[in-house]
Amino acid sequence: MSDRQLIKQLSELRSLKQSPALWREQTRERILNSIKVEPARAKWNFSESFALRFSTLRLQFAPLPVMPTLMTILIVLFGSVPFVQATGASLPSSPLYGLKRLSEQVQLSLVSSPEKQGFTYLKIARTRLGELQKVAPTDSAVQARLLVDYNRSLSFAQADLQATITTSKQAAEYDAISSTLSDSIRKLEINTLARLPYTASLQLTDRLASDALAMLVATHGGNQNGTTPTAVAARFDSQIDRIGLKLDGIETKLDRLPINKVSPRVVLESREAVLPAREASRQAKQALAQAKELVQKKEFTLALQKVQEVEEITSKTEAAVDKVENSGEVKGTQDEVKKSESQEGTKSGSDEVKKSESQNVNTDVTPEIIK
Amino acid sequence: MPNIKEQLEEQIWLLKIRHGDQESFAHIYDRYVDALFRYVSFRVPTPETAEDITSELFLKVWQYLTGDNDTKVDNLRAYLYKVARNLIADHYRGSREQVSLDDISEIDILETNEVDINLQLSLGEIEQAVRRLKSPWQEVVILAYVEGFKPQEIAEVIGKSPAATRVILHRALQELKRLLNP
Repeated sequence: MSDRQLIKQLSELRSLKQSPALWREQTRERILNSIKVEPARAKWNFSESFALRFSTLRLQFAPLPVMPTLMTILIVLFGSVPFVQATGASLPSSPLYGLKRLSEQVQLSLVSSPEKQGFTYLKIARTRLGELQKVAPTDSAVQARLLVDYNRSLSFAQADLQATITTSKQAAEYDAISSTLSDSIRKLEINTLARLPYTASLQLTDRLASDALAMLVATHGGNQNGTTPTAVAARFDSQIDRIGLKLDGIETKLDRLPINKVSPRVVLESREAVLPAREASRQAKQALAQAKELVQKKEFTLALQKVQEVEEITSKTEAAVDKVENSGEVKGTQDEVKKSESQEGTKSGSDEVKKSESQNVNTDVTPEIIK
Repeated sequence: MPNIKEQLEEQIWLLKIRHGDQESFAHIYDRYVDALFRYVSFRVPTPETAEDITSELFLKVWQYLTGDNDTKVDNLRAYLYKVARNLIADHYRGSREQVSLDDISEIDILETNEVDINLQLSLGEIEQAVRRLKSPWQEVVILAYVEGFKPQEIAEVIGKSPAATRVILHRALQELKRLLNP
């Protein structure tokens, strides 16, 4: 049973559990008889009277939707094309930015189905990403705020779309947007002070791309409009390449880990195993190669399982490495120690450690750009 | 969520109820009694318990709205479901009543004769699966898909953030699917 069918049937549960008519009327009468009205209740004060009159007046104009009316007035006043262009290109520092965000809310309020709402949230997330590309990398506060908004739109989109996508066409659109997001977010220059929301953005975007791929596999073929196996295979290839790059990045981080750090270990509940991070990465790459072979054989369901398995290992390994990397004080990397040993031969290790320590302290103070 | 017209009507009723207007309270009763009864009956084992809780709910709401408190009720529907939720929790705390699958009778489901028999059985299965969900999942599924609440409004009822609510909702739906397709 698909999510949509299930939701439809759940809404049909409304027809069950009707309140018994006799009970409803008797209870109404009993409640109205039993509620006591204080004989000397306070008189209406000014604010209450005002609120009552104001609400009554508004009730007369209630059929008029406020937000669309407001937007129509603004567009009529300022002219539609230049107005939309100006607000569309505005950044958080611009006075028109508030209107841009307002128009996004209007768009959201005008869509009727969760599926359309999901796609609108995706487009909003893409807009935030576009803004992030234009914001100066030194402006960490704005970057952090935009990343938080991006994450919010993305999680709303995911929640809406996961439950509603049923056709191959929708899945392809979802997949195309999530792939673009996944590629674009990695090209951003982010200030180290906005690192936390950026890490969350990367994780969320990866999850979205993974979900979209799963939906593409679930809905492909079947009819004339279905996504072709070649297109699905191409999409798998790009996902596999992306995970491969991520694993390379993890291994680079492992090489740079300070020698005094505990070696990161990865707990894999699904395999009931604890592996050193490097071994986990090696096994992930092996599984990735198997996934690639399955894709070539057009065994998409099995390939998807493999890719999902690798994604789980990769994210856990990355988390384990990051945890070790960010724990305690940094005293020198394996690379630096090797270099110092070869350059200075007999010089004691402690001097080098102190030198690295001071370098790392500087790094913490000066905001750095994450590429 | 009630439309803007209904929201304005409710704000006017709430203002009048603060001054003891029973007629406004009757409007609220008429608008919400069926939905609240339905919500409560999905969450308690017998229709009699649902009737008792729903009656008690309206009395409590009247006491609160006419009492000497300054807290303003902005979203009446969310407030009513919040009270219902608390009374259901009180009921289980008081009676230590356990909902067992054996207690779930299909008789009242089969008694409704307006719906097709095949759909009926299938709905019965879905209702059983909903009842088997853990309490936090059960309530969000009922609020979202049976009562038609938006995540923001559910968040107000259950006291969580809209984002957290969406996550719970998503997980609940997956769990429900799992229960229906073991």
